[in-house]
Amino acid sequence: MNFISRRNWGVNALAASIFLFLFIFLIVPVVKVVYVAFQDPNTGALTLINFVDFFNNSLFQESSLNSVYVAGMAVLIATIISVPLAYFTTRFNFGGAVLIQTLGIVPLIMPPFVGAVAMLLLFGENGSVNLLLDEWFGFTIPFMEGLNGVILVESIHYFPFILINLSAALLNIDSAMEESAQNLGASGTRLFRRIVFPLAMPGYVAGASLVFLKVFDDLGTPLLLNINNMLAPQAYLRISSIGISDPMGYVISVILVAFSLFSLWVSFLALKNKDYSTVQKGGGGLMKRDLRPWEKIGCYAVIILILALVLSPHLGLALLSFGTIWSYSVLPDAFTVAHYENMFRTAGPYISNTLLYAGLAAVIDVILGTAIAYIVWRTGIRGRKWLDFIAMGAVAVPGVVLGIGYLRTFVEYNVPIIDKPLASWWVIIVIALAIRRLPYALRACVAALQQVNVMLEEAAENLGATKTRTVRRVLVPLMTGGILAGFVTSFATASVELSATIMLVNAESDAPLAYGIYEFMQSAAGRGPGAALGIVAVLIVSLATYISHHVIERTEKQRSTGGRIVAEDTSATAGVTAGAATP
Amino acid sequence: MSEINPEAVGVTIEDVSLSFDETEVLKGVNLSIEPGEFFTFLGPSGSGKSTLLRAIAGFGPTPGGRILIGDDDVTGLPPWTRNVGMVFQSYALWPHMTVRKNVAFGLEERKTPTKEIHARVDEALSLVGLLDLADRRPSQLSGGQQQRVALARTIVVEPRVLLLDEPLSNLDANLRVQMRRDILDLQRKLKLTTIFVTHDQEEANTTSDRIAVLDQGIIQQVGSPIKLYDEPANRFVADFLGTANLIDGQVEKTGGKTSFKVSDEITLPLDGDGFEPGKGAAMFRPQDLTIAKRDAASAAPGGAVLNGTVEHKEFLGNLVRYSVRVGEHELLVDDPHQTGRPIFNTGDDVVLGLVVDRVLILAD
Repeated sequence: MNFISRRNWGVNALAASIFLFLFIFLIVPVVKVVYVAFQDPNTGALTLINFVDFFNNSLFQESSLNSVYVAGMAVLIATIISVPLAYFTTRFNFGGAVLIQTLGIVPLIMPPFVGAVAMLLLFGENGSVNLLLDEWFGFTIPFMEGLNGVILVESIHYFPFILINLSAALLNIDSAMEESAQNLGASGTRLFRRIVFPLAMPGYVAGASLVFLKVFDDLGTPLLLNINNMLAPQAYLRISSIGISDPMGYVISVILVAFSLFSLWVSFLALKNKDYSTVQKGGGGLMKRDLRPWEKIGCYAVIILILALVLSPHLGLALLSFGTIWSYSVLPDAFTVAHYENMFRTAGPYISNTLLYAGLAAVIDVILGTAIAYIVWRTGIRGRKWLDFIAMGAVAVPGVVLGIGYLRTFVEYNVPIIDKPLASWWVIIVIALAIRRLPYALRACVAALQQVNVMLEEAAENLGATKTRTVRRVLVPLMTGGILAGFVTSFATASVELSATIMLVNAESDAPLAYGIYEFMQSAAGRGPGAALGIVAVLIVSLATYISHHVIERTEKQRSTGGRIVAEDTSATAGVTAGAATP
Repeated sequence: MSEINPEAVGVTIEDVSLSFDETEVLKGVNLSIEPGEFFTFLGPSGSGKSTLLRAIAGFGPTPGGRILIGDDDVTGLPPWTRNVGMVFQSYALWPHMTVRKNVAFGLEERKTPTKEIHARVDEALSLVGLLDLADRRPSQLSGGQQQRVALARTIVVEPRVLLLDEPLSNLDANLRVQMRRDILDLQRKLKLTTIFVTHDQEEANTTSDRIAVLDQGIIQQVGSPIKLYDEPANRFVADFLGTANLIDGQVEKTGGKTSFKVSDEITLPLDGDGFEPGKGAAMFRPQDLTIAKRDAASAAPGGAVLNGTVEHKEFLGNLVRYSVRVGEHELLVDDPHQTGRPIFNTGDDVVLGLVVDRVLILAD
């Protein structure tokens, strides 16, 4: 073609401006952080001295080991929780399957740091469980002792990532895979070890590496449990107490990013060339069998135990928010609504700020998500894959790192009219949230776009609609469900984000809800109102999650009854919802 | 690989019934499959053919009745103890293992010495012509190659019986023809009792020694392909194998002559005494009818003559298939095509000739 149509010009301009946005607010800050880590704090020359200092410091050595240990143990505990649940649902004709699905969602509607303090009161040294254990059996278990607390809280929160991925992997194994092995003489544990286990492994590794990444990067939980000898809290404390010129915060950031990339790489390796989903048309899943009565009792016992564990942060939070004094006792002394009154009196701005920030961030995300999805999948412009790649790259950037990067990069830029550095203007929080949540929204939008057959658009063009009008009248309406799901996912997760915002909050009046909870929980007197605020957060996220499920279900129903030409890609949408509520 | 299974065994199915929940899938099936035979279960989807095959392999619920392989009653035995080889419709190659690993699996389960495994896997793979691809993964193979691996994986363990569950249904048309020949060659070479499940009559006819036609969980007829085509036992078999004209009517005997009365206008004379009076259907194949112009003086020689009008014409290359209205019946006529032979058009009045001994009466 020897002419440049107006459409091409428009798409190119759109792609360029999206790239510019991602460049300024994702690439530059991260590069800046890495650069500073390799810079001599006094001379500005490139050096490895900061890393040498870091590894020679015993506190940092300890913190590094602790972070790896906690993330590894959290993966282990999450695996122990997930494996029986995944096994029950995929192996047996089992009425409790719905219960297990619920179990897979409940932890996701509350970020781990919100329930952390409540967990101390339930499982701590003088918490309800240990008081009862001591009274009945004369011993206690150090559930929340030091790092144990972080491990317990994180694994209870993040195990659904393993559960969902492992269940999906098991469900995708065709029964013929197993039958052919039986036909050739394999049975029992050998059959499991040689066929079922290797086929489910990639899904498990993908989930496990995600858990590792999330736990390794998490700032809020250790902060609230007052565990400072881990990497993410150290980065935060160095920057917030010594200042943004201290190189150690940057060195830690580089290490956090390196570990994030490492776990994403492991996950990529696990899934690379291993599309083991072998279910054929009319086939479906492993062979299931009915449970014998005593087996059923055993299954339910395991599920109820896990359910109790998973619900304990929610329960503890509710008790804390309604209790008067709760100390050295199994339950609070008395119940009151005073904390809620107190919270609503003082925490109004936190809530309204959250709705504003998360709402704006989610709007930005779906606009960017839809635009990037369109550019990547429907246009042929050069370098389009990079746009997708860069946007998804945000997954590898921990919140702390993005926060530090923003502080360092934008502190020198004054916003013209309000005459304040960009780094301390509330809008920067919105942008940070938008960048952090963009990958989720983007995946939702891409899934929605891929479900629309190109022929539907070609038909519109054939009847005289221009590209722009086709997008507006055919594509976007067909993508509505997915876009809405992306919006809600971004909104819900952004509204409880702590790690990036905690660095960027400049004034109390600009702070969102997650920061408010953190502030409240710092003092014993603030725990009640803080818990009440936590309950508000849980309500916001669960409402949003409910709406998103509802929307996805409705669009799926429409699709199945409307007889549209769509690719079967519900798993992508399900995956996006599964990613919901990750702080 | 001639040493594989030197003594083929038969399969005996005695009064086998099976239900899924309330639905009866197999209703008292009796069959005797001879040693070394290529036997086919043919039927539409839902006829129970795959269920019966899976029951022989030991998959699905334990059926009522007995299944014997050779002289061993295997009813209720778990699949891994039966030593019957099954090739799955989806091939069911394990994606996490190489071709070689896939083929070696069954021998490893049988604790065969490693050296022997290696030799036998090589032998099986060269038998299906895939030795070069031994270190590939299944996902790197074409559909036809995957099919061959699945075959090699099954025969390498020297099963007593080979079961093939619609093995050609995932292949494209050309490959399907090639593959069914290869399977037949392999079966003849190994002299292995083979049971093949398909819904495709051409596949069944071209490969099988004998076919069992199944419908609704019941065996409709067992016989060689030619016998089933020429002498179908009932309407279902007549209609399912090839194309058939079926006309309802009544066998009548008047004054030593037997005839089949369809209506006042149409009566077909019957040849021979073997017909019992009563209601039934006359069956004849489209190629048993001749077609000529109505005014042509000479009608078809012998037998019945039917006047009709051409309603549709389909040119199929080697023949022209007419649909001709005779009274209230529509009959299919296959007229062989050669250059220059007259072609009739819609609306033409024609006369159809039917040789009497080609008519088969199917009792109700």
